[in-house]
Amino acid sequence: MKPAYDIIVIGGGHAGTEAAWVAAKMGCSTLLITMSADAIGRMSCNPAIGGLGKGQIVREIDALGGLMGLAIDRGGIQFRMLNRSKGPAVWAPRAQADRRLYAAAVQDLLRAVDGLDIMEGLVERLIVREEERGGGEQEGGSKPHGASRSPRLRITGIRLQDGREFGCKAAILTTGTFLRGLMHRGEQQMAGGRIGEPAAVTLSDELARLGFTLGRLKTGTPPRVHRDSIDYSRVVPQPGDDPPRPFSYLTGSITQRQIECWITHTNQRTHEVIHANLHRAPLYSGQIQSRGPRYCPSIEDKVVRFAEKTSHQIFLEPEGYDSDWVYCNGISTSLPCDVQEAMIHSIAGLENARIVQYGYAVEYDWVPTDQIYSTLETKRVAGLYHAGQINGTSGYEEAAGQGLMAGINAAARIRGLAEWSTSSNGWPTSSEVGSRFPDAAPSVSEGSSADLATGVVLGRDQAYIGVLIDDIVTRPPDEPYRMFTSRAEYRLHLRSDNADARLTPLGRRIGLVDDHRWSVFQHKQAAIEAFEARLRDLRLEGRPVLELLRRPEHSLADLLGRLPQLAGDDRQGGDSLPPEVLEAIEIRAKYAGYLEREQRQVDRYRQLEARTIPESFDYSAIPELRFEAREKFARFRPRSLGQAGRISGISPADIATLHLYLARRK
Amino acid sequence: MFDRVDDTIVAISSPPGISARGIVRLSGPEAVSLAAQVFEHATGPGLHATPGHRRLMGRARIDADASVPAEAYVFRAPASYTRQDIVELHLPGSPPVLAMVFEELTAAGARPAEPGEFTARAYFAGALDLTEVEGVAALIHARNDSQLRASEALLHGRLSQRSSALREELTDLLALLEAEIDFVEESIEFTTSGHAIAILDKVAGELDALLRDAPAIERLEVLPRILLVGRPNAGKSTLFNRLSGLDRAIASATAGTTRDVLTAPMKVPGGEVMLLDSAGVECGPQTASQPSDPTPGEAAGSAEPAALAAAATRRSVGIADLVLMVVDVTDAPLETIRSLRSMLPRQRVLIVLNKVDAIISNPPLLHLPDPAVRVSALTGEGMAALQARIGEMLFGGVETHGAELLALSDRQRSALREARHALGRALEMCKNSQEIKDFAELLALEVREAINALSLLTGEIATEELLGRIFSRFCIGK
Repeated sequence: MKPAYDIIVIGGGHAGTEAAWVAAKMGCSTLLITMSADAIGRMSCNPAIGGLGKGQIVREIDALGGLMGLAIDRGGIQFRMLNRSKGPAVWAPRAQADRRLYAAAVQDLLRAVDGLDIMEGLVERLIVREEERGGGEQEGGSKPHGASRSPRLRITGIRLQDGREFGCKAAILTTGTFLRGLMHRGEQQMAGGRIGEPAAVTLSDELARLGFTLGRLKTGTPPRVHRDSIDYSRVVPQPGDDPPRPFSYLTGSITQRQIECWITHTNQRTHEVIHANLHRAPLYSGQIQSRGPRYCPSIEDKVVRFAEKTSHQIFLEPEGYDSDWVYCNGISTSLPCDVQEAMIHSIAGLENARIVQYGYAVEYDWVPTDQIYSTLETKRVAGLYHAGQINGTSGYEEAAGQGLMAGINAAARIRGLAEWSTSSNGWPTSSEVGSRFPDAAPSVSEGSSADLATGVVLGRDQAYIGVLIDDIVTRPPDEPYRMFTSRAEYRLHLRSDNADARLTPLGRRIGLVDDHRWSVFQHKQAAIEAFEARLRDLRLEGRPVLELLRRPEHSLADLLGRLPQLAGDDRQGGDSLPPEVLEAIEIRAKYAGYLEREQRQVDRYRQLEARTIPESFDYSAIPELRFEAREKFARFRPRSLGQAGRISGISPADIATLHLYLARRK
Repeated sequence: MFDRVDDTIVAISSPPGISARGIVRLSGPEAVSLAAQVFEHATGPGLHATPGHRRLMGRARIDADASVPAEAYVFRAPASYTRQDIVELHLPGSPPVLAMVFEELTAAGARPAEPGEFTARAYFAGALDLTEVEGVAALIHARNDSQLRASEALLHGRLSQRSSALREELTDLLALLEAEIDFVEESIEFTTSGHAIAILDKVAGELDALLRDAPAIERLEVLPRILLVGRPNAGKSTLFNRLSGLDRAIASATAGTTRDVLTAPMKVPGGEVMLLDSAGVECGPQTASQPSDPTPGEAAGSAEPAALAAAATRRSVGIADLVLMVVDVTDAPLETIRSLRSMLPRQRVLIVLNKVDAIISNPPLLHLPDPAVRVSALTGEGMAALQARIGEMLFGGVETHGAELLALSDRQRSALREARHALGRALEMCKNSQEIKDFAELLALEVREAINALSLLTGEIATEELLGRIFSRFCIGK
């Protein structure tokens, strides 16, 4: 059918909005379809953005020119830098959001984007045709990749429940918890993705019809209480940072009023209530079968698995300036309403609390991620991308990171190529993208896998987003996947302070970073370079200041205080430089030795990533491979030798054997 | 995995065990300069000035003030097997001497070669014909098998048991450090500097001990394994004693006396091997299907000693490079061979027809499924032929096969040392700082490096495993 849009994004959550934002920004005509335009940018669960690993993802999204950092800077009402007492490599920004302001910020930002239409509707059908074979798909003796697979499909449009059809070149599917969403609260079950919002049922059937395998996951949310019903004398206030630090590299300072959160605890009485009613918990009655996350267990799970603990922490998080709702972080539950009442009233400060929304668990369909490439395009249907919870992840930030990359990849291919085709090695190619953006940075510090010829894929050495996507495509999660810093091998490189240095040049190259952001970035980098050079020249105790700074006992502030020549005459001095410049210099100096060591591991990683494997590579032609390895390679279709080695159950000898066969092709 | 071809690799390229001559081989751009740090030319210009295809006589340094006679064979790029500079140091074939030279070279900067890496380099450089790729892959596959056997052997070996215990402790510590970093809002104190020091000190001490003992342990663990299998009273124990020269097996005329697997090293033409004796195999599936994992309590009560011994035997069969099927020629030998062979579907087998002294006429047995040797363990008749046959089957014509196995253990030793260095740095860090939060991310880096180094002996660490440890011990919930 004739495309009405370049790209159609299905879903207006954190993945969908990010995808629509970048697709339109990259010059593609884009349609965002959502069941409810009011719900765009809605926070389904906790009213907060960021956290360990997650905060870094938001900084990365921002560095690439994404949406989330800008939105939370507008909607944040309490900012905190987590882990401030530890080394800067593991600092992570987090902010409480005013739920309404946040969604409004997302909607305002989207409305201001040229080339983006927003429409309400329920997508019922994905219109596809059989994919025509590309030209350069075959070479050597290997069989066409279709030999053992059914023919690949291509998306050409979508149909809404009301019968309207829209053609497209690519579609990005971000279904959240809506795919056959089923909410549980005690014995009660309700179809729906969120309270008051219907589920998407036919779309699951549609995916199955197209040949996808579906799985089922579970997550949950806690009760919310009315703010006027809390006894604040019995809870402990938790203030934010002063001054608050913004997420976006573009935000100068946060000006909106900052609020407090509070901390309280469950007690033995609470646990007794839960124990006495366990038989009514869907998790224990067998009503819920699917796997929930271990890191964010429900309160009933906590009291069963950690029976020896007599108390659990609860964060009371206001949902906004004007909202009456307070989110009870830490007691996610699917117990029946009467038990939730008894439980809440047993807690200090909540004795008379009025529950305004009960907690519930939700089960939903996902599409196991051995069915997508690292570009987030599905293997089954060309031009169809999956992002967010449909890929088995959890969290707004994880969803947004994927939405961003799905949008980038879909748009890069459309902008870069007049005709769909495949490159000589069989991977979808968009090699012309670079030439479309002639003003791109001359010295792009690209990671190994950001080669546009095989899609825009961030390396594990480049971004938490890269770690996230590589993790899910090599090891499909068996519980909702959440980011932790421990998932990143090169953690010292992937800091929240340097996301711009890592990614903004790439964002510039693909057309997402506008002149303003680019100039802010360049100024900061130039200031860092210049002042670092100056500290290399200046001496104290007969040594370069930069060298002294490497020692743990010296801080940059102390050293600058001992350099009077910087204070007065020299405007390069510390006072006139933005704090983030000084911070970057200090971090680079303090970690210098470790960064070099980590860099050697990064180099080794990159060598293996650089050994790419053609998409159509015929693994059945390697008799020496173990059966399990052959089957896994054929299913996962790793894009490089390095990625092949990260698939579970693959041994070094499998990789050595594969390496030999790959070398033969050259 | 052969992720690099531009550095210099080293391996001991001669069969494990004691032999007349041992070879340490280097390949790569630094091969000559690294070898020159160890090898001293007796008379003449030395390695650097030597063109290719030359043999130099001299001495090799084995530590600060000792050396042994050595020959250096120099092959210059591109006229070499790998198309790179290659130096082979031919040394007295004593495992400790080879290990010391190897260590000198790795300390100087050579990287211990991966199994199959010399061959792979030759292939990548185009020195092997492209049509040979299947052959090379098959070779790696075969090595995969022998590695598998070696690692299975290690799994039950002391080296592995000890390093696995260390890995456990380090992984627990790392999980705590990661929790300290990732779950900052949980108001849980996951670990302290004092706890970390205690663990690190303990593990570092055990690594030191392991490094001290490793040469002795691994020399035995990498020897090719020969397992004696046969029905009770076929004469295995007598044969074991005769071959090993030891009197470790309790040989007795009562069937079923041997209740555990006994081991002893033994020399055969071509190299050294490890001899394993098993309990008698009661032929037939009913024995094989008996429970193989009795609890220690049951074992102590020896309710099923025969089943225990059978389980030990089955495990040994899995790791054996060669099975000696000991058959009593006086007791229905053909039937015994058929039945035993059906229990050993994939093993290389040498049939030992024992007790030839007990029969008067000695007609040859026809249609045997495997090579056979006739002996009398009692009188010693046929023993030299048996040893020669073993040597031929294990070492005949395949010079490099065993070398790959030994290379694995060289890499293991390097890995232990690497882990030890990381722990040293970690300890220093702990002792220079007060609170764990000041350096948790750096400490985690060192501990991770130590675990990664040990992974060669114990398997990789996955993030999921770390997270699992955290979630199973601590209630994380925000």
